Amino acid sequence: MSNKFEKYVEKHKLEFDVHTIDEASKLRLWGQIAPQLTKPTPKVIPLWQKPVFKVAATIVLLMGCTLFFTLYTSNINQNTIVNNELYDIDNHYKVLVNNQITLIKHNTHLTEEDRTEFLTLIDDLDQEYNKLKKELTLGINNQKIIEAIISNYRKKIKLMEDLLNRSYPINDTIDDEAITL
Amino acid sequence: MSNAIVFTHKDLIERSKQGDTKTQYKLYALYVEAMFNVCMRMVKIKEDAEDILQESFIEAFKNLNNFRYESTFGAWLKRIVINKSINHLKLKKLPLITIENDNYSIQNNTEEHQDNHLNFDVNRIKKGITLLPQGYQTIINLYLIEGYDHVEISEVLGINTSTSKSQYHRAKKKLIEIMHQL
Repeated sequence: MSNKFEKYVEKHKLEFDVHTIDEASKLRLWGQIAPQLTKPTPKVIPLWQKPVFKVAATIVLLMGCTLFFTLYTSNINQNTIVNNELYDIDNHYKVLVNNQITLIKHNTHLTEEDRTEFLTLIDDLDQEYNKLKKELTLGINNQKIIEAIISNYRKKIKLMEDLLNRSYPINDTIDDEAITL
Repeated sequence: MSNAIVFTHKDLIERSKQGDTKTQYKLYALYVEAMFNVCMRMVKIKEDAEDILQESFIEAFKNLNNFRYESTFGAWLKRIVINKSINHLKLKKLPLITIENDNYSIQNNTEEHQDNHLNFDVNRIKKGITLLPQGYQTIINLYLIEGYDHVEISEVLGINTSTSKSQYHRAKKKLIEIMHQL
């Protein structure tokens, strides 16, 4: 229970604050406080300096190299197979095409117009062939490209056959006579 | 305690929590002198008071996130300052309580009687406090000037509340005696 004495002190409490602290002391004290309040920057240990990371990195590197060489070797093997296959196709169809060309060259019944039209179509097919050959080097879906090359050759041969068929004169009389006989 | 008082300087406190050094300085500047007076009353030596002040502000700012407006910031900070001051007195092996052989079992009506016959004066009280034994000075400062109750004093000094009460009554009796002689 507060009595007169306590009440008096309570009323005059501020008068008991007799000490003052000057600005210089305030700043000096703050100068000692402030540096301790700045959060220390967390010590960063670089990941690559950890032994575990070094071991993991070595394993990953070795695995990467192995995978790269495996794929590279496999790609080389695949390219060799594809090139051999293309070589065989070229050899086979070039003989056929050359035969047809010889026939066309020696054909005297062909008009200039037919020749020009034929050459334009052959040019288009040649362009397509070169494009397909280029795509083979990329190694994507080689089987389909080989099929397309074969189809390209066949189109050329078909065109040539059609041209030659159209150029030969039709001898109906002979046929009729044969039937009569 | 009303919310308005509890949330005094809330903005400064919140920004200080974020680590804004300028705001921390503003908060420090607002409370440093009051806390210096608390320290000086407890330890009396300026250099010691400054050391305690420094440690107290560092601890307060580092633990500011634990301050949840359950009291005023000033009261929270003062508790830190007083705890540090008490620890300082303990380290110096200064007695926190005074043990006297005299029987100071004072009755309340006797105190009232003495109070009524004394002309109070702040300077005489201050002078009287300085002439008290160290333990009495501590309890008078804590109860009378810092406004702590006996439960809080018992926590701070590590004594029980009844010891705190008896110590205070003895200290007060001694103080009034001294003041009569001044």
